[in-house]
Amino acid sequence: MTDSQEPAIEEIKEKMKTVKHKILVLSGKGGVGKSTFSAHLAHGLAEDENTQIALLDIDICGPSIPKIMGLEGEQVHQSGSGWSPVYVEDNLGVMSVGFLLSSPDDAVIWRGPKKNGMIKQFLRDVDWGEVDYLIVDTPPGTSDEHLSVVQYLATARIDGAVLITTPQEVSLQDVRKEINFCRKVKLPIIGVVENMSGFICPKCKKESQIFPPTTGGAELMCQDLEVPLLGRVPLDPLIGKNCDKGQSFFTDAPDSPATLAYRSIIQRIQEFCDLRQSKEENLINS
Amino acid sequence: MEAAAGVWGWGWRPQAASVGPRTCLRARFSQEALDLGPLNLTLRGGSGRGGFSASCLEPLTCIFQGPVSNGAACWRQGPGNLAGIRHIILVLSGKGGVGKSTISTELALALRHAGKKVGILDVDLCGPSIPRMFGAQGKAVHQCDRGWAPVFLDREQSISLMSVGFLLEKPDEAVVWRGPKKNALIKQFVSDVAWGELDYLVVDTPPGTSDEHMAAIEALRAYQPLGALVVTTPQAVSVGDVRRELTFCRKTGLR
Repeated sequence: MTDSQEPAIEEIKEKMKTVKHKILVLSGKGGVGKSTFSAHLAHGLAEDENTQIALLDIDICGPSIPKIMGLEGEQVHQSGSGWSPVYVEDNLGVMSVGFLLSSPDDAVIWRGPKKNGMIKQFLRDVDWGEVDYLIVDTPPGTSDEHLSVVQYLATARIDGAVLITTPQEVSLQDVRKEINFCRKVKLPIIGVVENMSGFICPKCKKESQIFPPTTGGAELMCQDLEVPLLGRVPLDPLIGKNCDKGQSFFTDAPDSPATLAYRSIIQRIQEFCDLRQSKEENLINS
Repeated sequence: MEAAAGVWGWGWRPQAASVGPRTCLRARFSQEALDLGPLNLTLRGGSGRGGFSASCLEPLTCIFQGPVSNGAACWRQGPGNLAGIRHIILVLSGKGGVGKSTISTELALALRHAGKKVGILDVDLCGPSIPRMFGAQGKAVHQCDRGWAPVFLDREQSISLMSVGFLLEKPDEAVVWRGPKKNALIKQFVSDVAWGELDYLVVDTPPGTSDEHMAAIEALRAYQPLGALVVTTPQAVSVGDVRRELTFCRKTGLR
């Protein structure tokens, strides 16, 4: 469907004018920590009270964001200016299909076209307001949801995608496909994050590889495919615990190696977005 | 048969060394709007193995194009390719990364160890893990007179596999398809793969409750699947998605 046939694309472009930076969090593989990363990226960026952060969960079948952000049971309200996101903090708003279900056990058994319709509504009808960063958490794979979000945001300019993987080859082989997908749809790649990369025992401090990088891990893959490796986040049982409780891991374990890794990755993502913005401004001014 | 681009068909039975059906098929299919990315299916002929005889001797490259409606005139079911299967088990989970493919693999190996003949059907089209789990990357799907021959791991044919991973020319190629195209391939996996006589068919699925799951269940319903094995990890984030999967099972009548 071309732009002229899809009026929603223009409407979304208008709506996205108040959103400065848009970041997609992708992975070909499931269960590598996309939602966990998206949530903590949002928490990390929102620590600066002067920035307005929006977190959009387009995983229609398995919406994890409400649980991870501690917003289970919340509902979406509608106003004259559109759907209101659910706010965790004053400067952190969240939207997910999870808020639209009448019961948390309700299964969303939708085929592609209906999922696309929902994503269109999320992008067009949610009143995000002035936002510095919109983070979009995606389901695993390279299918309807991914095609739709890229298509609908095509004219609104996505800053880039962050790809999450674990060190095993079973994960990397799916992430390579995702990198190819990004290149096919001309989506800039901010970089790759290697999650669950090593486990440090809290008692003896010895490091073990729970998911051994038998084929060189994300580092070798990034070298081969010429994409930046943003960082490695070690496995910390407190992360999973905090996700289940719906709290920010940073508050519970500020000195964990995982927190430090996250902060460094978040900083690199901010630098990427700022650099992109200044390049664009130079282009406009020249 | 010369190597040429064509449309890989639903219900098309190739005849030995003839170009006729392929060209005929192109006329029967209407070319609809492209999804992103063509799928190159390379089917290589080979000598017959254990009851199968190959009918193509030349590499045939077919390009998958366009979504096909389920009611396409040229679609017809294969000759009961699942009739020889005693039990069908689906391995599901709402959540990704909990170990569905791992469990499917271990289940198949355990059943084989118990002397059963097992097939694994991998309907995860975007992230097919089954070929790697069995060390069968790079194997190709052969064609026989009864349809597509699954990939066998050993001479006894005690484990047979089918996955989109075997149909990709390059392992890093992304299958970027929308729902209707995925549905069509899954239906083809169910009806056109000549599984033969099996004690168990294990169906490995992607995470979620969407097109692949609905297509697999619709296609398998006539063969009365035994039921579903739902996989989870202990965390609440996982269990939440799995509760939804259990609702899905109830709604679709899967035990």
